[in-house]
Amino acid sequence: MIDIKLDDNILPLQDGESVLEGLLRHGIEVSHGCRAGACQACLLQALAGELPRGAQAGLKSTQKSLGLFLSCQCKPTGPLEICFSDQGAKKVSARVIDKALIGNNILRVRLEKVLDFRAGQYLNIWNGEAGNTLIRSYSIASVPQLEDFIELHIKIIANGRFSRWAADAMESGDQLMIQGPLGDCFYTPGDPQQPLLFMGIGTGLAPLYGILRDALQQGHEGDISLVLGARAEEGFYLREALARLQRDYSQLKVHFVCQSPSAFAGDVDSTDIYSFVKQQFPNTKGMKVYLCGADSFVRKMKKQVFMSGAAMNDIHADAFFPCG
Amino acid sequence: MSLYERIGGAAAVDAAVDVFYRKVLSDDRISHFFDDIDMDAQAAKQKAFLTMVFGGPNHYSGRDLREGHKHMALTEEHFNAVIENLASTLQELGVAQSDIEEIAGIAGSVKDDVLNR
Repeated sequence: MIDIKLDDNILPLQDGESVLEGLLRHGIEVSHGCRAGACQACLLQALAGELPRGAQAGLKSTQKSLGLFLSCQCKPTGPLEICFSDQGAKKVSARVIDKALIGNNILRVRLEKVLDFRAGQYLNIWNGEAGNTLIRSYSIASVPQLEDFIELHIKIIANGRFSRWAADAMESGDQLMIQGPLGDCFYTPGDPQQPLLFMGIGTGLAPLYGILRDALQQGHEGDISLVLGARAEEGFYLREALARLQRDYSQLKVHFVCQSPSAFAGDVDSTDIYSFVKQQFPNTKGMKVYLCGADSFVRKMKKQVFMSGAAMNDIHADAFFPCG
Repeated sequence: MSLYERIGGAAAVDAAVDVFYRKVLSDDRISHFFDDIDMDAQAAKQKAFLTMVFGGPNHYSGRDLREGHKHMALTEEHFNAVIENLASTLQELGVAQSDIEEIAGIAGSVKDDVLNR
């Protein structure tokens, strides 16, 4: 009998039973649908143990790398420790080590690197350590192999309770509770020649900045395009850092797109990001695409690049939602 | 060899799903049903649908299909649009006409459930 460990419970599987069947038999509620490995409703995450062949069929490379699997297709040959996806993220206290304004209402916060992550994942973060605090999610901009800190880019919103607290009250030395890593928007080495297309608006640049540097430091050779949109030119940030990266890596090209660039903006295209992308990348077949920023942008751009040829499994997205 | 094995099994479904989904999203008769949904979740459902009509493993009951589509008040025209896009996808992938007809037949067998008739 094979043992499945879920939280603190050991749930033995009967011979020939899939993980889904076993969990349901033990009275655990697991979403499921087709029971044929196609609809992905029964996705769970393996924390330890070996997954049998076929248990990850059809999943994105990022999901496979996180140990996500189709519980209806999983008949393990050895014990597995599992959890519901994104339930495995640890909560830990982190010290704020740096805080700086790096753009128009954009706060860069650096925390001590108290947990492991892949560039592009995100954290849940509380504005303190005790119970009655605010919680928000922010994507990580740093790369664990390159930097000794966790970097977040926080957009300061006029009546945003968390961002206002971070801007006005939070100080270096403060201890915050964080939970992570979460999310499946990160680089996986597959084909080092595959063209990569990164697109973001506002602080969507944060995770993209991490993912693309991660791709570069992992030796990605194919063309890398980064397209950044903003309402006006002052919405862009990290321009010098990006210019340096372009100089150091010939395969990287950065495009800034906004509706109303200034007269001096030599390198900023005057148009909307959708038209720009349609014109510059009319055929996205074979490209791996990363989309980060407001949910409305992510949804619209996801559809656009899919319709122009990118495979659904090659489109990775990290959508931001306003929280007030 | 079963239909599913003949046309290539799970690999055939993988090859077909993005092609089929793009056709559906370009078809004005039915694209509006997909306006506000999560694309990844919908692609997974398309995969389950294709697996079923290709004669592959499927555990959806008639009741599941009825309940799943009831709220959309689908008509014959909507159903036919899906079959057309399915046939066109299979033709593009080089599937034999007789197999396409068998697949359309499987889809047709669940018509009453999908249209809640």
